[in-house]
Amino acid sequence: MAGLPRRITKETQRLLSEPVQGISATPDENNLRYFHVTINGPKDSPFEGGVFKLELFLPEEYPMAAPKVRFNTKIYHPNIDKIGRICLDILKDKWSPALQVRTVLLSIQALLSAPNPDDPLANDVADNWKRNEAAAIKTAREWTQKYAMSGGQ
Amino acid sequence: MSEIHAMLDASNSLNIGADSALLLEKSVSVNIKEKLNLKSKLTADRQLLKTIVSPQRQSQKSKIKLELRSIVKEIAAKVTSSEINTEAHKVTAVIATLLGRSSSKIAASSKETSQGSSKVFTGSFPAMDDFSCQRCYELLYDPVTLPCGHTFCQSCLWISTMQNCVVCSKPLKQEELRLYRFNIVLVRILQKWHSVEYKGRSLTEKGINHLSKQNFGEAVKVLSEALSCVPGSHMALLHRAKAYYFLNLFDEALEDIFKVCQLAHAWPEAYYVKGEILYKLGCVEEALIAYFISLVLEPSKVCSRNKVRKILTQIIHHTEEREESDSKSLSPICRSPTNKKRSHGSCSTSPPYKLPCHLSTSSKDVVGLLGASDVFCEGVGSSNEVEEKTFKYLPHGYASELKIKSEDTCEMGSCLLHSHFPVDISYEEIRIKLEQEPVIDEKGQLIPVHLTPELESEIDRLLFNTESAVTRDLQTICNMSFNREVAVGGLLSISTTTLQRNVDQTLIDASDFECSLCMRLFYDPVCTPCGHIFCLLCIERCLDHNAQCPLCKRSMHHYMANAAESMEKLHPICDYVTKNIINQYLAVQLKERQQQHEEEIEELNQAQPIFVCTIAFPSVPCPLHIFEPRYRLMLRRCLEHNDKEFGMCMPVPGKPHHEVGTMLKVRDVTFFPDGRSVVDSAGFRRFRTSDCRVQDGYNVAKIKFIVDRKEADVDMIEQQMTVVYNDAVEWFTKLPVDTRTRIKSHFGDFPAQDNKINTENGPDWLWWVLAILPVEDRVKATILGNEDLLKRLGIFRKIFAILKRRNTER
Repeated sequence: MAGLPRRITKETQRLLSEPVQGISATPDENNLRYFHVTINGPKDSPFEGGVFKLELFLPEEYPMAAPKVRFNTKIYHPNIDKIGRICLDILKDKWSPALQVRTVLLSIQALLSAPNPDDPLANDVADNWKRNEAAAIKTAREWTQKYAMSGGQ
Repeated sequence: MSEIHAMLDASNSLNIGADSALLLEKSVSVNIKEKLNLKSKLTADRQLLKTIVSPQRQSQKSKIKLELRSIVKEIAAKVTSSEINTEAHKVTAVIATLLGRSSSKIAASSKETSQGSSKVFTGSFPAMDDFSCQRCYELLYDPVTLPCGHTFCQSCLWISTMQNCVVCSKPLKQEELRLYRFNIVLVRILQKWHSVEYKGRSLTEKGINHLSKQNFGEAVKVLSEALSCVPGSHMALLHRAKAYYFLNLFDEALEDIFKVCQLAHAWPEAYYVKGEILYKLGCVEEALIAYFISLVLEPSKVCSRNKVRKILTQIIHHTEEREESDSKSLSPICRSPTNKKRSHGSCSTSPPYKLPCHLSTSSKDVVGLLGASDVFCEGVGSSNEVEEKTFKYLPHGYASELKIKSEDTCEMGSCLLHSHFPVDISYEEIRIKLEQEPVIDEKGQLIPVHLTPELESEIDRLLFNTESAVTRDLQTICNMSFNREVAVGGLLSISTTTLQRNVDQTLIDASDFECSLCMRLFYDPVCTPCGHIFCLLCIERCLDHNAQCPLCKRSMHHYMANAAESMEKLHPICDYVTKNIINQYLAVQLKERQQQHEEEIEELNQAQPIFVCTIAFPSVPCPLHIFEPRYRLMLRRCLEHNDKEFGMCMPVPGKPHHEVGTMLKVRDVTFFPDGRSVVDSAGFRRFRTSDCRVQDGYNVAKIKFIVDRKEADVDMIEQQMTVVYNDAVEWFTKLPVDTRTRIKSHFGDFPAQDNKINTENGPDWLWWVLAILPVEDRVKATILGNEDLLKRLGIFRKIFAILKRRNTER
């Protein structure tokens, strides 16, 4: 397409001018459809204190098609797999063109607060989560410390 | 009493449509003889009429009544099934005469009431702008936008019996009506921009609710509160009048209803309620007129019709009774009881006489009253039944009033409580009616024009020369200018003050009108059944992918069915209220948005859309079934901005598509409710593509048209063409019958031989033959891209030679 759709321009402007607390999204210099994202681990979750890096890409059909989002930081979460893929309905069949980058990132933040082991992507993590939640949360905390905190990987 | 039956029957079929007036004219010319007969009688009648002004001349009055009755009887005898409608009009004319007479007497009596209404109404007159409901003429409350794009209060849609949109006449699907939700953007704007009035509207709705639950005291309280927010709310006033009526506070009711009739003087409901109140107060003639106005404004209003019929029946019945007891002396009965009730009000000048029926109120009549009321309550369904019961007119004396109360309340009550919403005829209908029957005086309107002009002018004079408030109402209606602009206000108010609501500029914020799909100002806003607004183009594109509202996920199947309908009629849907508000209040932003829109369209037109599907040929039909989301979008854009054209190329592995293609012109489209469509198109130009890319999911490319080389040796080519044509015919006729039938149904008949040489594409038949040849598409594409006619003919000859050989081998 000739230029960047106005909607993407507008969303980018608003993300930068009115940032969401605990979330940052910056477009890549070379590709304005590609965003470098960080999400702070929500309070009272095993991910608290961590800063998680993600990448977000707006495909050609956006907003008719959902953005592609992936965790770059390793995370111990039943709905996020080893290579960072996210199991979130609004990124798949529940996508609506009325959703935005902002709402997607907020949903991911919420997913960190409320893991859903009944709809797992990482089966081993989900199993642990269901069998021994305390232990799973402990592992998640350790991973957060190891991979998502400064000094970590 | 048969004439009464006739009259009842006739008033049953009372119908004042413009076409029935035409019908009437026809029948009048056919039945000239009858007409003359009738005319002479009515003229005679008119003579009598003049002498009747004094109430002392009772005997003459009875004579007139008798005369009228004989006319009615005569007409009734002629009422055949085929003529029932037009005959009904004649009867109505007679009724009008009767009324005219009554009106003359009202002259004096209505001075009292005129005092009531002459008090200048000081409340502000209602505004009429984009924020108004076209149904109740109040500020939109809980606005619901219909598929046709017009918006009404939800209560107006739910309670009324609206069959068609009163603005565009589009039929309403009743079963869908309750699925529609509030227009969310509008609700927000109304609450923000017109907060006080909106609150008043909400209180009015609450009051109406109380009224329907018969909490009359509470209703008065809430409606008064509403009126303190919006003093000129005719809805609140009307319903407070109703509530007062049920609380037996008739003076208060009357005061309110006068205001209503001033504010909305073409509102049948208002006149009906006015009639009810006046009737209760004993002003029978005035009540009759009010009912009549109501009936004229809304011919289908059953309760008004019943009331008119009831009062008229009383009059006639009474006359009859009086004849029987002719010797009885007629002592005029003063309406003192009624006057007593109203003495502190404005009614003290009421005259000492009433219609004859009042003159002979006797205790016997009062005794018969209950039975009579029963009959009336049943709506005077069967005339036989009416005849069997010896009902009496309803006296309006004080004594009887107490007795009537419960009955009347139940009868009228059901009408009052259940007919919350006004104007069952659209403004347009009234206009047409009045225009076509220009002399219409309220009721007289019906036919006098056709019966006797003198009589009509007589009625006219009687009605309009009086200074009664009631007739002034009529005059106002009749004199209303029907210029559209004036009339919108005219229907509502006699005021010529500005009808535009004021909007506090600081409250206007473009972000209240932002499409959640493109995040810009609404452009061609449309409202979904779930009440969400999007730009037309934005929502269309979403629905290509998913038949759900992008915001609430509710099913959009109804919307899509309606959209498909309007697409075919090339009448795009639109939320007119939102659009108009944006036009008016966000003109600058809209201009900018429009510019963006135009730039985008311009950008689209930079490249030709390419449908990658099959191979098409010039002049050969190419039917298509379009279901992929991206091609739905492409098709809509081509229909709107690309002269109904797009390119067709066949797919090629490893490439976007074959570089040679044919332009297709859409001849016809059928849209299905689910968004798919069937397109009837035909090829017309060949092209070669370059700069292929994808735009919004579908392919686009720059194209260069392929034009045949100029040929010098025309004779030789013509020779060649004839050879190939004959080969083709020979091959075609040898095909199995069912194959040929299939080919014909798809591509049309075998074309005649046209010798187009040195044109862009050469002979059309050659493309037709190429389309049906059993040759690989790849080969066909090569031929398609060849700009040398002679070479093309050569290839055809080779192909036919091969085909011939193959046939003989078999």
